[in-house]
Amino acid sequence: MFIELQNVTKIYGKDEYATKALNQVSLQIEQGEFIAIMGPSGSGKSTLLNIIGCMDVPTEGVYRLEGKDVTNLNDKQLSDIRNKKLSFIFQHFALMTNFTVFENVELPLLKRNMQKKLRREKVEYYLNKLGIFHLRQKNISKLSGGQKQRVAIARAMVAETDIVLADEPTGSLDRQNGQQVMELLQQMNEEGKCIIVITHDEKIASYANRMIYLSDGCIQLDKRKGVV
Amino acid sequence: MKIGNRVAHFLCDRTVEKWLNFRLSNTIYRLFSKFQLLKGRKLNKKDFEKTNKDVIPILIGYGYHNVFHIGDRFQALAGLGENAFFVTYEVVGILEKGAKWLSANDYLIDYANELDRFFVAPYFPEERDGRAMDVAVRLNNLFLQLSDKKDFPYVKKIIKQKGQELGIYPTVKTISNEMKDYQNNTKQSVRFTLTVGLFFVAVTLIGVISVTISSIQARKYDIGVMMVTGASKHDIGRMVVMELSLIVVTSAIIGVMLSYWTEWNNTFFEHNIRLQAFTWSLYVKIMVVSCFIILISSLIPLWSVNKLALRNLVEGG
Repeated sequence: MFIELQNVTKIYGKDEYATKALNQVSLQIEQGEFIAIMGPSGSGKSTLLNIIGCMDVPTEGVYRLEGKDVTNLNDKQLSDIRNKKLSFIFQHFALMTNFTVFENVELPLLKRNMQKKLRREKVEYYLNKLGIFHLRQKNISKLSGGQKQRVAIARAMVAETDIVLADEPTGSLDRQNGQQVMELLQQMNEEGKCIIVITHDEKIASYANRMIYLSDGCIQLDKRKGVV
Repeated sequence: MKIGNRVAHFLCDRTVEKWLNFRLSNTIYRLFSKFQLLKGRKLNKKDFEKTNKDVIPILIGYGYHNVFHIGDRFQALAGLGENAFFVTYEVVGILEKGAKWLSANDYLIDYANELDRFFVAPYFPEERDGRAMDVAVRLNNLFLQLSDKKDFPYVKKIIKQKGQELGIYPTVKTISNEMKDYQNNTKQSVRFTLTVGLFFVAVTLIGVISVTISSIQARKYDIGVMMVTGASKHDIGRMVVMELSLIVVTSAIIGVMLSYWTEWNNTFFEHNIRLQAFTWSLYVKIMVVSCFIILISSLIPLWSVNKLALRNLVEGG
């Protein structure tokens, strides 16, 4: 199993301030799946994505990534996993505002002791692929929302990880740009990557081949496309 | 009681020959109390009453005992420019090897100086014809050697009385008391310097910590982005320490350069007086203090980095 969560619970706060964001969630994800996670605000979608993305650790339960238990790893081990196995796309892009497009896309490669020339070739390849090569020297603050999200996708692509996690990737975009972003994610999925998208939008969810519906920290529905 | 003599120092070379003229210099001017002689006689009261036109008796350091002999006469140029004039000296005594004197300027630090390379004259020729104020300034330290230390209270009383008659208020101390005062003053100076230094270190610490924490707070989002793409808290901490080191080391270098420049440009009358404070040990101390500041001022920012929760950093844009 590629991603496996067993009875994962996440509680924020302590004692009377304790809030259960996830409650005994069990989930299995295969490589190459395209999953949409839906649910109302506060249902635990982002918490689930944070745990899958090794940005947070479960309070209870076990999380296995490629068969390896990552529940009790330290910060350095988790950061290594984030760098080598996971890529992220966020609603607000999560780009370094004072950096150029090139520097932002290059970020995941900086920790990999890759040669500068190789790094440059790789970044330029993906910038070309996403049609933003001409923007490479531009500062992020000078870009439109659609362009920023393309930069974020280029950064996810350049990392060449098997898992891409997207938290409301079209939330800040107009319809046309949103559609383009989803097409890019679909393209990445067709290349064999596992895509997990959080969304409120049914249309966005329709790109996925599996839909998980969360409510009150529990999985209410786990439906695959074409399966009744 | 014996009243101490005043000493002139000549700029001359150890190898100089006796028929050459010497230029008298008042750049180094000292007072003394007692000389041990190898040959000849000491200076006496009459020697101090001679004028510049008289032959002035002089004692020579041991270093010249093969150059001059008792009774030798030579001329030295006194004064500068149009006011220069020759004064004739006669060697009346040769100082013992290693004879020492007290220096008015530095006797507390460098208790006694060897006189082997010095000439000792009863006064400066310029002083003889000089203004009363110049003489008074030059006589601001006078050493008296007492035959018995029990005489000190009496001598002190007499000096004070004479001073009052002249309208001046001299300080009369034994050298051992002066040494104690000097040591106490030094301790107080060190304490004061340390207090001021610590104050500035504390201010610097608070400043650097505040700037670093503000910088971390302002860059939370960027830090979040770095962590999402694979940077660990350790990497972020290292980055913070590097930035801190850059600030502190740059400040230290600028501070040292400014201090060095200030010292270099410090003028005292017409002479460049260098404090000679910039030694390797000072640089080592500055480095140690800088490292201390970096270490201490890193702690709170690093703690704040450790408290960062990645899930909160990149949310909300």
